Amino acid sequence: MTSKEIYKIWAPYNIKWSSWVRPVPFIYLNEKINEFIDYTLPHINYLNEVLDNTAIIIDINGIDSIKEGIELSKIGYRPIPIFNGTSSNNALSTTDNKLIEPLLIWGALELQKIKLKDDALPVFLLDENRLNRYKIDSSVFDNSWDVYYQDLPSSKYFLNNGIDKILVRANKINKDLNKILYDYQKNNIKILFTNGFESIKEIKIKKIKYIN
Amino acid sequence: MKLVPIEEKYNNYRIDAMFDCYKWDPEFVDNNTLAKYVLVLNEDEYKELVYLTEKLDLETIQAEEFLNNNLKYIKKLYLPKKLIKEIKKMKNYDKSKHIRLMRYDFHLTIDNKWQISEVNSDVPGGFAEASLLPKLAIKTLNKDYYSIDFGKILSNAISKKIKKNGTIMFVHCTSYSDDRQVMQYIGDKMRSLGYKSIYGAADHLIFKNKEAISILNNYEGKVDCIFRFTPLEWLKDIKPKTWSGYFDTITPSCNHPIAIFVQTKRFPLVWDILEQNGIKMTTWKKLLPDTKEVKDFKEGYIYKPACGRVGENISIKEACSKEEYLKIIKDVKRHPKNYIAQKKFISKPINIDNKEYHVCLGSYTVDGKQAGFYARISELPRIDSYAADIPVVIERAKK
Repeated sequence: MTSKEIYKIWAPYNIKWSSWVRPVPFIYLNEKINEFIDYTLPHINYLNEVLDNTAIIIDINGIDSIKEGIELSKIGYRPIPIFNGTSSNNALSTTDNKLIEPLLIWGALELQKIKLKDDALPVFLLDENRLNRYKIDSSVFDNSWDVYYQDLPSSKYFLNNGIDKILVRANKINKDLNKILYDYQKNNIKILFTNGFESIKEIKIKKIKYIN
Repeated sequence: MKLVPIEEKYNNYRIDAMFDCYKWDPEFVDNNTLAKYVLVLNEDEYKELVYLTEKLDLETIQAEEFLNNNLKYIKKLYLPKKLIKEIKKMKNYDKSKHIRLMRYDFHLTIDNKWQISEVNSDVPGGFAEASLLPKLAIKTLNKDYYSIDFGKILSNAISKKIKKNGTIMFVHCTSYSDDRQVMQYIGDKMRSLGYKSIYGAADHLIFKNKEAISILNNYEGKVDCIFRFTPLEWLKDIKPKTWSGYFDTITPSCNHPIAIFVQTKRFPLVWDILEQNGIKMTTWKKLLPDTKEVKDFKEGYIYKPACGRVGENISIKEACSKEEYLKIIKDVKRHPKNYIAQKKFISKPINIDNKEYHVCLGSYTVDGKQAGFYARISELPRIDSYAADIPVVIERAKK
């Protein structure tokens, strides 16, 4: 499969939500599946069916985020990867954005086996490692990245498409995402949270000042 | 100037744009940022734009060199204090050593006249959209149009000034993939010409004896050319202050920080001084709407931030939400010197498919010569990040 074909499986033409799939990690995909990665799908503890009117954002490490997205696709969610980090071209870097690449290839093969409804609700996939900013010295290439409001649909779009709740599956609410969620909440979208083990609960997002 | 639809081939065109034309940011919030149309100029429009662009550029280059040699006149530009100290080091600027790249943003008005909204003097973008996308569009439409290959012109200009097999650092904000897509395109282009392209942040360069040295891990050593995409007003906030050397480096740069004088939207406020000193600003005066200090704001004018980019924070009432408009006005009151007041022009939209599209047509120059086009369209009269990129092609005159 070419990188274009892999992208088209994740983002099929004219299907709702697929235009938010970011092309960045797909552009230079190496075709080979990495045999040394554990592709075992996780068990989803926090839900076993599609939650009405609810989109999901998974913000855990990228590899697990993709695996969980695929598992959620089996119960009817459409996984939408919005990874946006670039490569350091072999310079020592803050973040390894290439780790997810074999999973995107594997995920495309898995998605081909799953019949998703055209109007399936979205599960947006993020990599919490994007925020690794530590530089041991100034020679390090900083390819950490943030998620911004422009990377996700607006609250108006969510509401117009019947989504009034967003479930965040994460270890914590990261600061960049907090800013986006705060705006959603301000526009009458409820924010739900689970760490993957505990049951889903509604949370209130506090306004925080955040400059990257 | 007309719009031609891509129609049923659009889905493949969009994928090809992403994968073959470095269009890595095809969605912005709920907006598709790749137009479903192609912008077609006729040859008369093309020739007129080339003529106007080169006239503007001649005036711009004369103006910036004059200001660089006469810093006593730059007070009205109200440049950031941190930069003023460094600007004083630019006395050794020699334009023959550097590559000067600019983009003038043209708009057609309801009087069927061209106006410009600004010059992107410091770090204009849109390179692949101005090079590869028009070719893809022509191939997709299968029509006898032609385009100007901006990438070829820019890479040739760099090749003329940088030694063969030299190392070029593409300096950008490494956390932003939308910056990287611009750098990756021109970096790949230079690599295909035999250069070594390396991608780093502004603080990956240090300067010794005024020469740029890369400290980027795995790519340490002398750099033969700096291609900078980090704006000067962001450079000044980098700590520790390693960026001072950009201002007096003898390493060829694209762009050299001399770009700052005309990058600020306050540039028109020194035109009187320029003209008193023999620098004619005739074309600028003809094409840029009347520009004043904020205190001289009049009915029919808008506010623009002096250091604004991609159309943001411009107070066009019908193109802003009420909240955004009030926020701009509040900031103008607090920091009037960070803004200008400019007479609003009425953009003439193009009608197609029962919609109206406003066009911002960017016209590049490289070392004084017109070098191609980068355009965006929007249903709103303000062209900002929500606008869609559109390839520009030229229709041959009928014989």
